[in-house]
Amino acid sequence: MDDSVGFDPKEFNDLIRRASDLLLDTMDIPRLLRTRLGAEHQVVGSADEMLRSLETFVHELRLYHGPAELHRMNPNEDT
Amino acid sequence: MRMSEADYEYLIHTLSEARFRATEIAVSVRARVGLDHSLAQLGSLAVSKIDGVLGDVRKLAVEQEGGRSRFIGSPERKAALVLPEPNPQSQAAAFSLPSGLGPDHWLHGFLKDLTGQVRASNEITFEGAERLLQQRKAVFLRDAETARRMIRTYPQLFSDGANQPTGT
Repeated sequence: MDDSVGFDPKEFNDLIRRASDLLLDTMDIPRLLRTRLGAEHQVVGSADEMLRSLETFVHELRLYHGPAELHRMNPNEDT
Repeated sequence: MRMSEADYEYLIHTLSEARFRATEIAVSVRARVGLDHSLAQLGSLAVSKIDGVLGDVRKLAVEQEGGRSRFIGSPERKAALVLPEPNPQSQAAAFSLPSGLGPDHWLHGFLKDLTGQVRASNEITFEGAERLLQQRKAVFLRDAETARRMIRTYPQLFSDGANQPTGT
């Protein structure tokens, strides 16, 4: 699939910021469900999985973009 | 322990919002890294996990209300759209655009983004379509500006005499 429109660092930073905001906004959902329904409830497990999935997504986005962005900010650094 | 009405309202609202936002992000990421990239798959997975929890919470709300939930008619609930699995060949046939619009035209990208969003979230909204169109417009304007700068900086590359093969 070669429909890439190129990597604008600002755009990608914005995507990471939006994904991080989303993670923060959903962070208390598993806790609320656990408090109300008990730790054994199946929905609590699904909510934990949802949060882990979002965390992985944000983490991988940062990993993917990190080296390129670091290089952009410190182009003269060799290490 | 039971959930209160306020809990359900909060959860359904937050999860619906989260699903919409995650879908937008996933579609944007996919447009940049490609459909088969692991990041694109992680984005789709996150959307489906949110969707799963939202469905579970709605089911709980219905059960607690004895089979009829006051949340069913909430604005977030939308009719499911059933779309076939992605198939590049059938997509090309479905979007037979006028011959003047080459494969690089922004309309192709927009339609691809739009169908990708619908597939990821199983729904479509005017707001989502507008946002995708705005993103396409921003990319188009940026590309046009880059092209203008290229022509200004390297006019010799674009003059009539410069008909060198480019390899593309």
